[in-house]
Amino acid sequence: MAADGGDGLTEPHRAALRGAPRPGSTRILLEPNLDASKPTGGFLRRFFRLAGAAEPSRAREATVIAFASGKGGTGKSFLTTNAAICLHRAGRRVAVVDCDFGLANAHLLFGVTPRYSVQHLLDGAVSVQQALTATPYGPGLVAGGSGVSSLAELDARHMQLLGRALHWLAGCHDVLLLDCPAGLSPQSLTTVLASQHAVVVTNPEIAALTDAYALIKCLARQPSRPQIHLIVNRVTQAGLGEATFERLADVSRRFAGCEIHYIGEVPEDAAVSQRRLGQPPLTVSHPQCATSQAIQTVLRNLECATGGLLPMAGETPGVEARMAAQLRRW
Amino acid sequence: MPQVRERLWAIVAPRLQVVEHGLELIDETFDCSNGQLGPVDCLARDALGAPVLVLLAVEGDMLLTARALGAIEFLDRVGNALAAAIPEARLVPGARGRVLVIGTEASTALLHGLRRVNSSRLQTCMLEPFRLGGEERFAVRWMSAQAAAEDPSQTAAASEEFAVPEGHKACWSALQRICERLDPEVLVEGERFARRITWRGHRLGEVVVRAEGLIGSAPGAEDVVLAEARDVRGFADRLLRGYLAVREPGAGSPGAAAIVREGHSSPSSAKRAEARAASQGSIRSTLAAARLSPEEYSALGGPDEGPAAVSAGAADDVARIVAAQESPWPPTAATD
Repeated sequence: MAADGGDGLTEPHRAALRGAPRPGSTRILLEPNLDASKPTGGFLRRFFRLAGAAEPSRAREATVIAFASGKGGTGKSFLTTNAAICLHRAGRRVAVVDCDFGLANAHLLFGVTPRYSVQHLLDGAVSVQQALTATPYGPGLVAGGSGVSSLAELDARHMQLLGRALHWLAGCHDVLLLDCPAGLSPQSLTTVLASQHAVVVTNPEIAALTDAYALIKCLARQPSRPQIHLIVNRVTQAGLGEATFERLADVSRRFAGCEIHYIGEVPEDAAVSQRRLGQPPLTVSHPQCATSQAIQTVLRNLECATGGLLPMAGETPGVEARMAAQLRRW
Repeated sequence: MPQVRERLWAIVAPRLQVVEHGLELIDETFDCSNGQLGPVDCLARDALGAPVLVLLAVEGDMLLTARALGAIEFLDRVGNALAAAIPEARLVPGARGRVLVIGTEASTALLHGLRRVNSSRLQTCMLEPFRLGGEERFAVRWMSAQAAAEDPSQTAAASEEFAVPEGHKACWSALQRICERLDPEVLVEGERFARRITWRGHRLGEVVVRAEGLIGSAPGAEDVVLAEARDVRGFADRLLRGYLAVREPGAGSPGAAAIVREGHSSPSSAKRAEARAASQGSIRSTLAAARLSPEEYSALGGPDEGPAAVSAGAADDVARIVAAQESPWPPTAATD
């Protein structure tokens, strides 16, 4: 530093430097645990505590919502993708994870051809950032696999990797939607249990209803479970969704000891089933049609039921911790 | 010199398993040079069932190199016939024999000389004594022939290359990758026929080579032959459980919260007890209990004949997924 002041420093800077600890007066201890959000410690947390400052809270984490059903073909992927688009248009940062590791189709509904899928992610070939594909309609997508090992072949290690990926995604989005695979397996159940809200999608028909109930029954038996919401899709007449819900809620209450929450019905729409690949999602191409409006209503109800889909903060376990808790029970 | 050899042999003979996992003494004083060079110190069988001629390197033994070369030539000539010639040794026909020279600090110069012998059948190691709690113990230091030729000052490799049997190399590579990804602090180390997998000193498991192949063992679980990718994943699952158990001890006990939550509207005490029991079990056990009873099926509006078809939908979906294993990426199937 030049004595004549030719260093360009102003007097306040000089004063600050004069008051700074001299070399040798401070011991700097480095430790790998810098995570200030860990409840039990962490260098930064202790630093804040010693300095008398407010301790930083756990980083915000997205609301994680799993769309699940016992039976296939109930419309999970359709509802997930369109809900994601609606939420994105409402100003939220949304990502969709296609957890169907066997037969993925969310990317088809978004009209994208992802370079990487969850298969590459679980194989450790790519990072979650690389696996996250931008879609033309706003939400990010981690595409599911196809030709991947079947669900039954995903072990705890894969699920732990998935938990880490979800944790990263939840940290940089407001809402994380998981498009869960059909069927009951430890893997699909673990994915649902890692979420905060489980949206069970069913149809009024008995096969879909019984499979949805089987899923609810499984969830009801878990030590910690997400809030369960119900959407009745492909309803042929108004009110049938609520009647279906009443029946399912009654059986769930009586036999599984579990309360479920109704968030709406989506009408059967020939325009949906006749859609071709490459067409924009319904809420983009026909935002005013009855089905799109019903999806908007369902989302409003879901927001009310979840307290506004606000990102989670504080000491509540995050998605990775929730998944890790389930993996200990495999 | 004979006294030194006697003392060294008394140390080595009961510790062959320590020198190398699975190394088993068959017979002492195996002479393969018609008495010209003197006998090798023992014939042993390694974990793969291959013959191992063990030589002790004692300071001043000028014939050591000659005996080692003689043993190598002997194995080259009749190594494949030893299995039939010594049936009591239970050697595996076709297993490649080798010569193992064991020395101490005092015989370093001899061992260095041996390392210039360019034969893949020859291996050298050094016993380094130390005392722990008044008891004498030995560390085994394997010496690399290749490194010696290039740089004599570089004495040893910490451990030898893992002798993975042919046909199991892919499994071993997969398991190594899993361990690397599990946690950067997971260590895989050991010697020729055994690798220990540890995390911060906690033993998560062990992989050893035996005649039947690559064997994975984890605490509290049966040993498993790692023959296929599925076996590796299963073994990695056990490693992961062990890792989680030592990383977060005390975590778990998932039942308590559930019991509180279930209290609000259970239909009966029996149902509550059933739910509680299930909640304290594994995820798989709760899945097994998900089958609908006839009462549940009927209450949902199904026909009264029973829930035979209840799980059919889910089963079909699983079958659909399994059938899709080999389908190309990206898929062109119809949407959900």
